[in-house]
Amino acid sequence: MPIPFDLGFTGAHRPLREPRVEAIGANSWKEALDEQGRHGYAGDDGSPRALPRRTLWSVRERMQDNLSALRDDGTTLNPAAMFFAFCHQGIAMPEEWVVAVPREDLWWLVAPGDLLLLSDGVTDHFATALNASAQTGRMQIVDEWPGRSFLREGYNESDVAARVEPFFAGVFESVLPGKQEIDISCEEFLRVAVGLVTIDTPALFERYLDHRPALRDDAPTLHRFGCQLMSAHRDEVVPFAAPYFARAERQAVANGDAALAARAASCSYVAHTIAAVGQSMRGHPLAVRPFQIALGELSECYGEPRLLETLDVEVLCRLGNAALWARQDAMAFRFLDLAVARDPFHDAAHAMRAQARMHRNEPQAQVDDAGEALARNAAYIERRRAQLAALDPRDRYGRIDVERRIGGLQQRRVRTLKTRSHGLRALGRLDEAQADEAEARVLEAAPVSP
Amino acid sequence: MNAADATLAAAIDGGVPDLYAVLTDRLRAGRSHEQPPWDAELLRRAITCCEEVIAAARADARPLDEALAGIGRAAALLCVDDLASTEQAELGLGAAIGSMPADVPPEVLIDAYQMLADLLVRVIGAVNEDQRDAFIERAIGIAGATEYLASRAGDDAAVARALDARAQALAQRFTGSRDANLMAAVEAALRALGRLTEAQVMAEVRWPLLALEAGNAAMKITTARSRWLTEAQRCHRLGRSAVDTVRYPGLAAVYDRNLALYAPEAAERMTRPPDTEMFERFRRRGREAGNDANAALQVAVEMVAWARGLPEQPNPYLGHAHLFAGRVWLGTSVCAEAASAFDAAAQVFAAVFADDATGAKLAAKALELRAQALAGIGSTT
Repeated sequence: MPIPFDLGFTGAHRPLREPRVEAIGANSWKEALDEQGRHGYAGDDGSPRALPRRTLWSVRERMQDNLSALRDDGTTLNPAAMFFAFCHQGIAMPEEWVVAVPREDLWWLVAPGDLLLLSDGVTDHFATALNASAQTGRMQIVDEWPGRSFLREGYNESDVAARVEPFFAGVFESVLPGKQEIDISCEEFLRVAVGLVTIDTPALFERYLDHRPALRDDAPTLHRFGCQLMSAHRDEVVPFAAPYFARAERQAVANGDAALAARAASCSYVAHTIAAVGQSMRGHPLAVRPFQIALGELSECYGEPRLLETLDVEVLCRLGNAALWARQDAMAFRFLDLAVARDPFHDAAHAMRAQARMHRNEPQAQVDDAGEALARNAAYIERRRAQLAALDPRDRYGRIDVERRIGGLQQRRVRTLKTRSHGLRALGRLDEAQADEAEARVLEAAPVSP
Repeated sequence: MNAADATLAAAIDGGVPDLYAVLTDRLRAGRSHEQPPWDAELLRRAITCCEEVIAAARADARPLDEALAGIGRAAALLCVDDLASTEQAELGLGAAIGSMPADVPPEVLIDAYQMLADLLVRVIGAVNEDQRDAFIERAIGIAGATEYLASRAGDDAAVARALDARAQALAQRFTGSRDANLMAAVEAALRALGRLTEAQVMAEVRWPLLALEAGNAAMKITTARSRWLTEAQRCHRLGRSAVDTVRYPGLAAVYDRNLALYAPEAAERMTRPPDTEMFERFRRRGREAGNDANAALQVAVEMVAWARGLPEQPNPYLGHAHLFAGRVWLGTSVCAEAASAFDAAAQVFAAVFADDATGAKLAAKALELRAQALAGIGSTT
């Protein structure tokens, strides 16, 4: 994308993001602009395919998985950067998926590179934000098929009359021929905006509460903030979630909302446990203490067994993984044993418990757990391959999504093969160990293919 | 007796709650060397007063009073501001936090953690180099715990102070990517300032000091340099606008010098990070290379190339670079190369520090090592 300098795109009201994050936002709209006109419009096909169901949440999840798969030393990717999903309050979305806000706050939130979900009640469509201006009250959007946009006058049920214009007034026409942007007003945007996915750090919630101070003690809002932070599956942002859950629980109790208090307590237990494990790696005994005190209070109030009962196998695996990283093996076993008991067919639980057994030098149990994990992993890979084979070949994003999931399963398989081969070697079963190592090498070298 | 000392004297007479309030307020506002120091005798009396209350509260099983007095004592020790007092303060804070009752008001716990975070950050430079990385991690851990407590209490100003400590620790951290640490320091500082009103930023010297630190950190970043120089300028402008120029003229002058660096005529200097930062990165890499001769030699070669590329020639960094290269060669018994390197170092030091005792010592050291290297050549022939 040959735009080597900053075009000065901003949101209307949202403060500028940290430079690394702002750069990712810029990459998003540049990629969207690059995609414009590359692929045919699905509706023009002779036999148009059924479009797969994509929700704000499912798209956000995919974007977050892609971001999480990227690794660098922190100079390009802010370790605390994550994707946030917001929708307006008129949409019924489960609290753990999307943060619901007043409709007009979507204008406050929108920033360059955001993925927008727009709808007039008949047509639903994703597009990418370019720029929004408080001074002009207008915004510009990138659409993959601008000439087919339902936002054009006469093509929507919301009285939106979008202007389709050359991108950036045609300044880059010689290097980006034919690229267009869609220009609408703030009012038009708010008539069709359902929600958006935006990249930022957890500080976004601080700034949002500055904008909406009345929500600072609103238990449901605080709980949703915590859920959104936890849903990124990045332990770097868990310490931001812990105080939101603590405040949500306390406020819910004060409001007499026992159901919300219980949900917040359960989430708080997870967040505080992971945060405490992370703090323990800093080396100062007092660094962990506030989190341990909070866990003690939760256990006293709700009972730890009851809190653990509310956790599903994925969460238990997450707790086990955090403990494994910190080499707190006793804690890891506690959570992973529960995970295996909760779902004996879960490959990751067995795989992580195999690693914990490796730390404890229990080779036979290590091999057994790794074997269970590998059997299930193979079944999952086959299921995904069947899903890939069944997809319409024109479903570009669907294919990319499934291929990446297969890649992730294969990476997990490689790690588990190595764990099992380590145990097999300890047991003197060298032929089997070498077979595992050979399979791991093949998988590491091979691209994903059906 | 100035106004601050008069307040302290009245607080000593008032007892621990007043002392606690006066001392913690002072520490919360931050420290500048331009502020007149507390009267040493008054501080000694404050410490004694707190120690008496600690003993009495312990005897009467009043843990909250004991904790308050313990924190007050630590605050007074921190105001004394020498290394021995700071060490005592750290021990005292640890004891106070460890023995706090469950019903301690959250602001007291936050104060204790914040004081500990500020203390740890303050002494990083005094910690032995080989222990500094682990020390910085501990400081970051305490800053993180402080931020958690403050967030949980919904206290934005306390969150900002915790982020201040985090930024200061990260700005001194070389573990992992140096640029990433500096970026995280800038991010923490700007988050801190974003938690405050304009009036709060202008009321306490802590905030212009933080903005200065953030701007300086941003100036040291090498990745995407132009983008981070923009951040540096933003931090320095923000900080300069918040400085009380009457009370802190020295700080204002530092800002003015920094802001002059962004003027068009100074643009060339901004194309590279400060020489001191680059030298420190090379030193750090040299230490990390340890006994790996190839890695150490790589560092030496890059350091010499960098120093030779500086506009001012000769320069002290070139001398140090040659000295380091010589030590590496000597360590691998390549004595002829070592002798040449030490010779070059001695010449550079003599030229750069012509009338300086430090330079003479460095040159003499280089010549001594050169002789050692030459003796090594003799012994192999």
